[in-house]
Amino acid sequence: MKTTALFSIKGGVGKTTASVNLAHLAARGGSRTLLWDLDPQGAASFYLRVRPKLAGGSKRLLKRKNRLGEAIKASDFAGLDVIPADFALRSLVLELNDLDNPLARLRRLLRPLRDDYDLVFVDCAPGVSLVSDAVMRASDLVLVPTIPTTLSLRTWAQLVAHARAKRLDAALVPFFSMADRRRRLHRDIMLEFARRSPECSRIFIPYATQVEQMGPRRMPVTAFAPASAPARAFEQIWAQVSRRLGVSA
Amino acid sequence: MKSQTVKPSARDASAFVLPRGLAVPGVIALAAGKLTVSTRGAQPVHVRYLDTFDRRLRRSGLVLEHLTLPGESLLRYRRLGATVRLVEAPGAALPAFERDLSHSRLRSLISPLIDVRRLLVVAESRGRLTVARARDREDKTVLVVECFTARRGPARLTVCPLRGYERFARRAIRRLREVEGIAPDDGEPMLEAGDGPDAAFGATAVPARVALGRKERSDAACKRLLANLDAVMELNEPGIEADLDPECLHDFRVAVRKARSLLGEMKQVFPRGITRRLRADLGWLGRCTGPVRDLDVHLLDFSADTRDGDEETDAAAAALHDHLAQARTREYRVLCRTLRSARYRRARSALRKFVESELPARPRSENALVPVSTLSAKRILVVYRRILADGRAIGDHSPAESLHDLRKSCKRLRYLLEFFRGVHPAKPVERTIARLKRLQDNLGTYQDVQVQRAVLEEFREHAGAALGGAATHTIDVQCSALAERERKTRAEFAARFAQYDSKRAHKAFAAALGRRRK
Repeated sequence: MKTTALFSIKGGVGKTTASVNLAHLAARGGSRTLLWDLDPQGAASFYLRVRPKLAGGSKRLLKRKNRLGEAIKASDFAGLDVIPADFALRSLVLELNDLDNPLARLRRLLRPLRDDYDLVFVDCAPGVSLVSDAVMRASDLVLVPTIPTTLSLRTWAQLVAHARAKRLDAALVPFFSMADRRRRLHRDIMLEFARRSPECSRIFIPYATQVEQMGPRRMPVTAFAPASAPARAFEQIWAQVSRRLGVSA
Repeated sequence: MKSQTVKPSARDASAFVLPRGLAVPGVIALAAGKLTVSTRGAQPVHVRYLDTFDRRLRRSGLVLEHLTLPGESLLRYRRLGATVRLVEAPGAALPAFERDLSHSRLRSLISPLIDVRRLLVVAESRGRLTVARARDREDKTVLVVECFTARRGPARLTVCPLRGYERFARRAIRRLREVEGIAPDDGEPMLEAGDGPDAAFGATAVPARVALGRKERSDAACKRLLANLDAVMELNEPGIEADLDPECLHDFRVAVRKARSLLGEMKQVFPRGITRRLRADLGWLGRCTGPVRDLDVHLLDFSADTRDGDEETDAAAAALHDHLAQARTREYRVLCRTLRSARYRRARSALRKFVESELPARPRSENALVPVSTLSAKRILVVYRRILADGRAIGDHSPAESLHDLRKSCKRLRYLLEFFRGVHPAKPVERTIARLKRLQDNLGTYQDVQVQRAVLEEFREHAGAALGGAATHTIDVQCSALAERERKTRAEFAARFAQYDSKRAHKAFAAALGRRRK
């Protein structure tokens, strides 16, 4: 079982969009896929129409053995299951803090599911916290959606420095999201960043109305507009990710 | 009144048979209760059940079904008699081989079972399928109810629970059980479906392994083994004629080789004249079937070798593939003519007559009455020693022929061990076979790669110029890849043989023959 986290210090950069679409593509390709919505806002759960409710909240999630398995809900797509978010997850940091070895806790929680799933995508809340550190520690790959703006690049640098300082051993892979090739600033930033950061994916998710349509339609863009530019971009990113993880695309 | 007290398992889908005259939409609405149901109504559906020529899935208790509905298709993989799906792959086209399965999990589950065998449509049924989705307030599907009404047979209703929403399925099952006339479905739709277009192939059971007695006279034992191999040949003949699955020809050839090897190795068991004639016939059959098999292997390897090329390389690879496919078609026509020839019929009936003939009470052949365990042990030992002597003589600069000769000897030993595994200690025999197999894999790859390189080089010489520079380049690339593989395989030989020629291996071999090693 391979774990991929979608994480960024900044909010509104397309983490949830990417996690929902990549998880859908993985399931469509035949991998048994689980999407863990760790963002208390519950946007990924919303997109997949799963009620954001976690019986007993985050405390029970951390304490009871195989509680994570009990929280899983099937999505409307074959092979894709979801652990929904709950507003109570906002206190997960405090609960993790009370436990021994909190950074290893999420990995331990996922362990009983290793025979049930080939892939786990974790949609993280923005910001650096004990939870995000534990997610990075538990993940084989951390995808970092980045908007081509100066501030986004600054937060990327902060994230790299933080991961290094905390020795999180995370494989961080940035990619551009909500990119508008018509804007000169976007083009310049993407070129400059690609030059400076060879780990950055050459594929970017374009700014497109189809992505915004995910809200009213409540499903991945790869499901309702598979031939659209963002869906094709997600397919290309998934091809890269699957190669890197060593799973079939 | 509740008829059942047992709580139905919500993790498993549950199936029911509906009585005639009961309206499906009404039953679905009953199952869904207060939930909102959305359905496209009853759609025409064509269900095809897939399996290999020798029914590998069925024998493993598994069902692979392909559903074609208007504008969509679906592959499902489940256990025989169960409704819960191990894998469901929407949008999947009807696959012919394992490589056609784009769904990675399905491929990983099926691949070890079917290997390179073709998937045939062994059964099929047509009817109407209603898929109803019951949704909650979030418009999320919480329950799926399916009803399949075959043209022949009853209407079958399946309640499919979804993870995390099992309670809705439990309620639906409970409601359905309370309706008079709705009965649990214990049947298996595949077994009740009509024959598919390929049902005739391989419907006969694969001949079971021959169980020999330790003290059985050698001529009787060998005749029973030959009868079994004759049955395998017969079983595969229709598959070769219909060109359904390359493995039919492979299995046929293996049976031919095994029969020839048995007659050659078990000396003085049958009259010399008969043995010579049968071996000559079998040798001819082996030669007739060789070219098609070589090209089959080449084509199978070719599709695996030529992925991910650029556009020009891909076009040239496609041209080369066409050339090989055309060559295969030509050779296959020749083979078909052979299979229809009088000589072929004579050869096959000679073997058939021989295996069906009575055993003489007083055979003149020296070893006919020797217990099969004694004679087989003697012959196994002779071939084993020959392999050791030949293998030890092979050095880095030995010609390729010496490896090919060793490969043939290994095959002879493998066949002997497999024929007579029942009359010798089981575990050591298995261990010896496993070790031998590793050596055979190396020698087999070496041979295959050499044959493929020779075919390509011949093609480059005769047709490469006409195809243009890109094709020649592709052939060059393939030839160098094969040359590299040949070099690596050859380099691995010494280590593989050393494993075979180890103290441990000799000990296992001695134990296999019930001998104590000095």
